[in-house]
Amino acid sequence: MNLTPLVEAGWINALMPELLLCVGGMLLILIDAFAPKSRSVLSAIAVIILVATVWVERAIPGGLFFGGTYQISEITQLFDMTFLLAAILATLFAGDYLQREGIDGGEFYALLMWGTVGLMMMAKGLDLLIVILGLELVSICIFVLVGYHRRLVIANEASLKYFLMGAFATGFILYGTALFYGATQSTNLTAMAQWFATNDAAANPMLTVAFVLLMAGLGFKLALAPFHGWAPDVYQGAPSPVAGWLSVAPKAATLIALARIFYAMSPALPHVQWMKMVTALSVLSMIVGNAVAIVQRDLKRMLAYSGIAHVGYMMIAMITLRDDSVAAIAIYTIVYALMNIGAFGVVSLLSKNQNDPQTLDDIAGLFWRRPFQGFAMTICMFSLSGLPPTAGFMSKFYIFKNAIESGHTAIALTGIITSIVSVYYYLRVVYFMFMKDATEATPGTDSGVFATGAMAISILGIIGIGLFPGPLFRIAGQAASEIFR
Amino acid sequence: MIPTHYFLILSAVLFSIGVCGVLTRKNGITIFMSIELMVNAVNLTFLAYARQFHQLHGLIFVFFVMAIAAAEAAVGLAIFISLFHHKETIDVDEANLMHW
Repeated sequence: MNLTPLVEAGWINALMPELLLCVGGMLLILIDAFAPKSRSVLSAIAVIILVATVWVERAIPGGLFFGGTYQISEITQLFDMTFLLAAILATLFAGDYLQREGIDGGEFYALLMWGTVGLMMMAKGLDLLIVILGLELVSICIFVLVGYHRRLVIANEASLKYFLMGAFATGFILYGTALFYGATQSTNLTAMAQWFATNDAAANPMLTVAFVLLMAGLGFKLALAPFHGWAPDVYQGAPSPVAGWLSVAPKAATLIALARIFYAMSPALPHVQWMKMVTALSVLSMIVGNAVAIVQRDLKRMLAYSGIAHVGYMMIAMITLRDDSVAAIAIYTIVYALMNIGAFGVVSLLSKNQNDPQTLDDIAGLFWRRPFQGFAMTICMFSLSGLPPTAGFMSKFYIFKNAIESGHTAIALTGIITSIVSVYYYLRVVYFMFMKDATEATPGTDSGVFATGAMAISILGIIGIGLFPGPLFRIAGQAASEIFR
Repeated sequence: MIPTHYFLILSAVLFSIGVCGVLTRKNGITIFMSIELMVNAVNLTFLAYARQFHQLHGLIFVFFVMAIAAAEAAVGLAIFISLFHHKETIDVDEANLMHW
């Protein structure tokens, strides 16, 4: 093996966003350590670093790096933007939240940035090794972020649950990868694609075992039913801005990595039953997520179950697997970042003893007490339930349109029916905000500049994409064709 | 030379023991040890295949897997210490504040 061609000229330009985030995270920790009085500006510095990364991200040239294992193209840039958007929104909400809870610190933002680096690696990796390294980088950051509120028993319990489940799932992903390596003699997705094109996958039962193990492991990370057990507990225990970030960004990265893996396997897929399993996971997630969300009174648990249902919708696009479906996933994750982190952000403003659940009663009359927060939550709920003219409607419509066009009418119908059911529990939140009267004990705080800014970004994004979907759809459509090169 | 499938069977058995350990044990550290056993079974699989194919690829993967497992252990043990501070036990059944 010759190592010299593995490091191409210009790799440092290609890795600029990742390097910037790594160094930025270290810088924040150092500032916190040497100038503890400047804690209040840490979130502002974090936002500046993230925005600078967005700016750098737009300038880097595309291409393949590190011996064809690291792809930078328009689609990875689009996904990087999604990750950065999620990180910016989470940082904006977290700034106020952490100060209110008295747990402000540089390491919080650093972990968020390093997690984003892991997500970028997952989105760009053309080798299962890179994907798994990225996945682990982000998982380890999440273990700490979920338990960041150290004094709270509930946060500790959530991080324990996510740690045990996550490590267990990693074992499955690794074993699946090892068996794929045994069958195809490579972990490089390009080499695997060649193997699948020239060999009969159906003749090797080991590959089905490998696929099931890999899907089970990634299903844990995506919170797909029946691997969703951890999601409600972890979201409830985690700091609300972290829960919002965690419900969006890792899912987006896992989905694009999964799209690459599926594409490498695509010659074999008509001959094996694998896609039926994926369809079953998708349908089960939509039904379980929406059905259980109806009976939840805790807002964060309700959003967790709604997240399970939303991954079900995104998996519909995965089943069709063509350029359009990758574009659909890219659009869906951007919109989902805006609406779900927005919703979790409003929940994070219901400041009270975090050990207690934040139930529907806590947002009673929110619109009349704090109109802007109530308005933001209303828009997010409309978008999550997929009502026009919000962005949630456009992204869902695109997924269902793709599914029907490629002949998956039954599963599209399941998606449409379950999303009609979901309107009930989303609008119940809106009902509580407008129609119920608040009591003396109802919690709530005025939002600071950062949280207000984040809510404004969410509202503008949701309504903007809902009314003028053209530009985003055009960008995503052009970019999506590059994923399979 | 020992045939490759001997190693594969051994690693499948180790992996299954690890899975059983995770599902049946109550002590947090024991569960984590079972997970480590699963990861080591994976390493054995990679090594067996790498030997069979005469490739460096699988060997290098093992180094990364070991690094991942070490990093996970560092964070995981910290979480267990924090749990012990709160509950005076690391029995995972005691972590039962949240349920639907």
